[in-house]
Amino acid sequence: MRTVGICIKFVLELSVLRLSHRLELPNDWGESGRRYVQERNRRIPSHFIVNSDGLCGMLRVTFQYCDDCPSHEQALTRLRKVLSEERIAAEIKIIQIETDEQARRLRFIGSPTILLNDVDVDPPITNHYALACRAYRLEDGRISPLPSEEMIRRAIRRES
Amino acid sequence: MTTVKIGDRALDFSLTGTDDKTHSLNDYGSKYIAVIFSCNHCPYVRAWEDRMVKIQADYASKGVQLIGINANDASKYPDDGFQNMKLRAREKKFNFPYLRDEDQKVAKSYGAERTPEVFLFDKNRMLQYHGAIDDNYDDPSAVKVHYLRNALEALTNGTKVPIPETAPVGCSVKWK
Repeated sequence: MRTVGICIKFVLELSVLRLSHRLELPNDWGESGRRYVQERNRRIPSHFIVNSDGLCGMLRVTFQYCDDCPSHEQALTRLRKVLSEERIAAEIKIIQIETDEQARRLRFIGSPTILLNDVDVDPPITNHYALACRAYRLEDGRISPLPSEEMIRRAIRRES
Repeated sequence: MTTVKIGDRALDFSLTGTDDKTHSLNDYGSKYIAVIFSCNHCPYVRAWEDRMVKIQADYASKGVQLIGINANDASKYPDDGFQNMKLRAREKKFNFPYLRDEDQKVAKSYGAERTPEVFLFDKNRMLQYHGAIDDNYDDPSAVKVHYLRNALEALTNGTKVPIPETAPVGCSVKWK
């Protein structure tokens, strides 16, 4: 009976979440409430996320690329891997940039670009928008056409 | 568009370098020549640049000359402009000529498609290797096959190049 009460209460709170975009799991909900959150995580709308601590939020993930740049498939795989490791069930909006005009309109500085809640995982210092491959400076100073897993992970944790 | 294939003769050119001098193949006598289509902005080139400098340093005494050629459209990719080429050559201490192919004729005549893309010629100016510098743009310490180095070792030792052709990996040449 108590479990049913907790679930009803949680469903109501989840409805509030859709309006407020934020839910914190109360301390008195116990293990059954947490299990419900984790189970719900697999079926919630794609733009809502529930992390392993039971906190809900909204994470919009956007992946922009141009077909000409050979690193985009590997970058997308890397992004999916890190999202999975961070237990973030977010849908990735994939946008192929095909023209210079589209690059300017979307402020696309190069392929691949990963945005979390519209924030670049590696905020650029340039305002030159073009159909081009993008250079990331990795933690060890190397230049790479891909963001590192650590770069993506830091950005996810920042936005989650 | 002509494409230089394995066994074909090198096509000569006359291009201005970041030293403000004009460079052509005839300037290099009977050296082994590695023409590398390159540029400033491409992250693949930037990942491989230090290795290009190292290869030149290691093989200069064996009569090898690398030549970098940038044919990209600088009006759309200003990082690839001539002044920025000079800055890059200075910053990375290029020990090889870095030439500007402004009208893109040389790149088109060679059939270059990517940056970086290597065309390695023997002393008779015959193409002996074409493709990537090695098999790992991302991590020099994880390279398994050093395509260009292995080709240079073979040529300078008078043996057959083990892998004469690989797919070049990098950004597309930015055509006007």
